[in-house]
Amino acid sequence: MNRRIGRLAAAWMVGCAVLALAATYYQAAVADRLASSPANPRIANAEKGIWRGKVVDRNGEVLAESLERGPGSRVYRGPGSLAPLLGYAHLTLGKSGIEAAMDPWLLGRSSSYGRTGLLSTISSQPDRGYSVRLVIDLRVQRACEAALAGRRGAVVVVDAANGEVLAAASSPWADPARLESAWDAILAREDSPLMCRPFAGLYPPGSTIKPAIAGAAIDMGLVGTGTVYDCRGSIRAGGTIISDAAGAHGSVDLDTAIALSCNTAFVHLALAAGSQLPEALGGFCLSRPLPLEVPTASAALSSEATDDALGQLAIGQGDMVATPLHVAMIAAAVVNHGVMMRPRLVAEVYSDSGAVVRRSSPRVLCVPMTPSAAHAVAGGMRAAVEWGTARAANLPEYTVGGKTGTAENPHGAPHAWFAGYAQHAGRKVALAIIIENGGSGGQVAAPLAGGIFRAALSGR
Amino acid sequence: MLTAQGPCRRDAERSLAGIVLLLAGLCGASLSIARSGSMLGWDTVLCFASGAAFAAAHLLLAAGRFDGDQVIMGLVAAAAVLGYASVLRLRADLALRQLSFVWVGAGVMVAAAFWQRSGRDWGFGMASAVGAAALLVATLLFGQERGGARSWIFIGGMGFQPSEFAKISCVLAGADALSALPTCVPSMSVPPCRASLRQMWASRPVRRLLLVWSAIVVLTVLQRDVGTAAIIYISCVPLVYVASGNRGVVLGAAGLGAAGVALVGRFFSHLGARFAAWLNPWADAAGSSYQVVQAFYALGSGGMLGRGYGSGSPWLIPAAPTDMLFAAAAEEIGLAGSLGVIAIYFLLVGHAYACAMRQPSPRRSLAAVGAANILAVQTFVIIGGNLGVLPLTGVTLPFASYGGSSMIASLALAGILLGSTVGLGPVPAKTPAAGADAGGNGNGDDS
Repeated sequence: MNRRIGRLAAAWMVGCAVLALAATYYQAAVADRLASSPANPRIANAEKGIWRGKVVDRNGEVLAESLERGPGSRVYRGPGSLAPLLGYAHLTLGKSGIEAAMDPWLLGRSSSYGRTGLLSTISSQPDRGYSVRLVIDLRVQRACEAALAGRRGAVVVVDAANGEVLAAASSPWADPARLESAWDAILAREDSPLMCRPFAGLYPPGSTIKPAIAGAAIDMGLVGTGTVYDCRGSIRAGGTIISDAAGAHGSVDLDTAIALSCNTAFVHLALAAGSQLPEALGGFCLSRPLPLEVPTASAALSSEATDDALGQLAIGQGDMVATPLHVAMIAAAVVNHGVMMRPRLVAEVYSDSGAVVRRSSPRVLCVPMTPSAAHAVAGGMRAAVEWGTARAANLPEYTVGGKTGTAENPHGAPHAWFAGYAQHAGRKVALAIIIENGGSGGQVAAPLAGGIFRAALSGR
Repeated sequence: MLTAQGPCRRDAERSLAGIVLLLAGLCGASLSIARSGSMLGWDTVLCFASGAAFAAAHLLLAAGRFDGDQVIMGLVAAAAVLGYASVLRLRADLALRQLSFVWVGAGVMVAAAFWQRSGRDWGFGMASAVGAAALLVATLLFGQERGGARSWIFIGGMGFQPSEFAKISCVLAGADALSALPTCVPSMSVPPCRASLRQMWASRPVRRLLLVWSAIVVLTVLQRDVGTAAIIYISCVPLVYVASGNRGVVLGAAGLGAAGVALVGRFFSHLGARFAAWLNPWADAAGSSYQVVQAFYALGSGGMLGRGYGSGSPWLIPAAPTDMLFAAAAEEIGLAGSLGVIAIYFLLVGHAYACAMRQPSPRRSLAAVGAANILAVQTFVIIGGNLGVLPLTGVTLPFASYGGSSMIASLALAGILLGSTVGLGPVPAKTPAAGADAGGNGNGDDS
């Protein structure tokens, strides 16, 4: 009989082990996720007593603040084009954008909500959230908003040397103060006013991909600054003929190819690079989402290496899509000697008393090009602005380089793109502009860049 | 029973009772600090009073020269005090009622221990089981419904659940009837290692036992109290296995149980919903699995060390003081505390099995095993339900949850367990797990 009782005891031991493991799973392994889940009613209850922190721009101008304790008194003071990025913190609609991404800080608790335990009881919980200082510069943001002038599209400006996102304008937008009353109508709108286009909008990059292709081709040894290609106005890539709208460019070198956006020259390079090209473009983060504080969309790159696919890749069409941030980061890497810095939106998190609790710092994201390739491509983009397709972006006081794009898409007229950089007194900024269904990049997007570059480089 | 070795002092039990009093004081003081700011508030007094019930029980046992095991009551008291602190924290309005249940239960425990020690009448087990079955019939006819189960009888404003007491009678009847099997009677020559089903059926007491067990399980199911029925069923089958050594019984009973669940599931729609909520709790977090998902949030918010008594929000879980007490307590005592609670029940049941192994009298040994089985299955079912390991059923955590019937019945069961540990033999060499606890004096027994 004792052996049989022993078996029961063994079964009980196993049972208790299962219970202990389950308890450990819920109270340690996934505890933080459960504790900070928005569906956890403790979060909403705790929020009622907390004065949510402010969101300010890099100069301290208030973008969002709460007038009293608890949710429901949030006011947004930033320009409308920033609304899709800032998002909202709403009692019933939930949270999005910066408000969602920085929520634990704004509510005055770090991410380790569940593990503080008894200590949090002893050190009475804070009733004031931390404030968040963004690297966004409102002057640049306003210049971007003015450039968009109500058209559908996006502008993103980054500091190429440290990855700071100086402006991220998205148009159209919805007034955050009137979200709840108009919620159904907003969701039904076809122009997606809640989407943060600079980071979440996916567009065919069109010719703005060419600087990346040029950089990759130089590093593969396929082309040098002296190499000359004879453009006959069209080229066969597999089963498709890709042609240049302007007809035959004649013999072109790399600068001319970029400056005139010569399709045949780039298709020729892509075919020569073959299966290495998708891999090399992956080095520009064109096959994944860029890391950022808020969610970003993943660029998509077909890894197919057929001639048809390579031909489309060379002109940024076909299956390829990227966000405006991806396109701006390519221009930033070109002007930053081939080094792509990790983009970031948040400068620091500080307490009510002004003490900084967390500060972001520049980090290298990837090195897609050698410095010499980057300089060669930068020269080509400079040529495009001086005498090529992007002449409308030229400014006398700064060194400006750029690349236009006119991306065909299934939604109507082509998207007008401009990607470029400007340097002045050691500072270098890069930007990407897209006007949805705007038409020609050189005529519609490029003229908008000047005012934004001035706002970004003057007076700072 | 008692030899002339001087007064029985129960020193080990006294130390454990002291530790439990200290625990009660600490729980009460921390709750009092959180709620009223002072260390000595009503919470401290009430918690301490719940622990004092067991100190009193200890004094009664020592005064009555009770010579059974000394560890069991300490563990029971620890579970009861932690549970009382959590109930007090959740529902201050129920605190005095629950305190009276603890005190009455402690008295019942002592009485049951002495009664079981005295080697009560052989016929009583069966008589109580038949009485329990009759009460269950009466409940079906005249009972009232609370929380989906028609399992309450009200007499003069006082309600109780007969199914709680049916558990005890099932153990008593089982121990009495099964100890007559040839496999249980210790014979030095060739002990038959197993009793076949036919042999068991040939024995008249066993036949009657199986009938009355079945009746009780079926009646409990008819009350829509599937959780309690499952506890009785899952506890009694291993008891038959221990007594008979027939492994086929376990396999057959498992098959029968599965078929029974399938059958019952056809008639009780809420059973299917519970199963679905268990398989994927996140699918309908706002509906059918709301309770268990709220338990998960409470567990996660508790984290490693818990938020401290009085600092959590355990009332967010529906039915927190009864069904969900473990999860509600875990938010405030953390993983450290919930593992401690699991350890208390682990030690309690494990120690009961160890005592049963050393018990020379098969009748008492089976009673101890039966009581331990009920406690083990009920604890596993409800803590497992709280943790999402099993489908959630509306049963209580023994000694801890709010409820008079549950508290008194659980403590009576603990008393049966205590009374079954008198006259233990020496620690068997083969089972070192039995530990070096104080045992009885190992003289002759009444089997």
